[in-house]
Amino acid sequence: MAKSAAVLAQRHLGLGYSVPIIGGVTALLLGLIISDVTHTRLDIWIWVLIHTILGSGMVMGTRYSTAAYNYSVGHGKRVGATKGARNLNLVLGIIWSAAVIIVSFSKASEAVQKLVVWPKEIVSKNQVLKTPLPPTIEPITSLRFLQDFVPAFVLIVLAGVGIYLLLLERTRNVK
Amino acid sequence: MSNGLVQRIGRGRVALALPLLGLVGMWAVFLGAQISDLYLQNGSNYGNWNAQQNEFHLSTYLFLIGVAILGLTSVTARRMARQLTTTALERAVRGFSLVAVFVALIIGAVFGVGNFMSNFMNNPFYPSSSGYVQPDELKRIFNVYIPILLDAAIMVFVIIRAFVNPVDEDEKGHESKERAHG
Repeated sequence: MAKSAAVLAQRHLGLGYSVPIIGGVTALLLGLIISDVTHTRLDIWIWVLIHTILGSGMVMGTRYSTAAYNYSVGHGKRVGATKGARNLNLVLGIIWSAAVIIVSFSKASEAVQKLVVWPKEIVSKNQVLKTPLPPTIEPITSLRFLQDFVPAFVLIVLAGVGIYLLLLERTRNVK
Repeated sequence: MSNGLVQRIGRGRVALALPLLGLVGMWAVFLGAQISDLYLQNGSNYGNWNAQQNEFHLSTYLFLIGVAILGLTSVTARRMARQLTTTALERAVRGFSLVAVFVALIIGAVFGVGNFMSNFMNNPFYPSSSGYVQPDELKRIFNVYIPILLDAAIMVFVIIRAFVNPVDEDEKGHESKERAHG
């Protein structure tokens, strides 16, 4: 029984180190494949998928490494490697959270700026218009809403849920 | 904060979720601020800012509301987490809420300084015979001075609520324990 628990803890430790890397590689390859197949810049929804895979990998990695750490602490074993796995996932989680939050804010800003159409008239630098020409503001259509605004919102929610789960998993049954 | 929610999912989890909800709220208000700014961009393409200076900048106040949302949710979480020392999650939430307060204060400081810098030396005076639109001083007070004052007030409020006298009257039973923890 104790031996199987030790084997399980070893497996958890391995997964704690490898799952975030597997998640990262999967997300990057997925992005590359879609980019190569479609020959276009990645749609923001693909970025949402990539960030979801990355975040899931880190949450799972945190879960496994915490389970291995709990076993080490509970059985009086050395905690160096298990602590390292937890810290690795913590650092990766912080970087991921910051990146997703920044991408979300920048995509929201980009979505708003897409609504503006500036006038085509060219004015020389020395000429100052006394009556400025206003830009055209395009309406927020359902297609534009789904393509630009919703993904940015999903990203900020993803960041929030990810941070919540990362902290929950990191502190799950820790002695 | 609803006591029912606290009892159902636990004080630690509520304190953890609060700054994250504040972040989402801030994002939504910032989006609204940027949309409202679209209607003030007359002439900015040509470097003529007079038309904008004389408009009321709703976006400034929306950005301020966003900063306030994050600040208030963070400081509420911080106060909730002050007494959480039992489990690892609760100890982690204490640290997380402290980081959230710092982030809110940094964003508030960036907003205040950014508002100052973007309006500093940006109030040109033209002779009345030039034909240019004269700056509206009252609008400038509402667009620049009052938001900076409100931002400072929010930051002071957050600092005091987060770090000065952090124990409420109804929580004094835990005060000695808090002091022992420093």
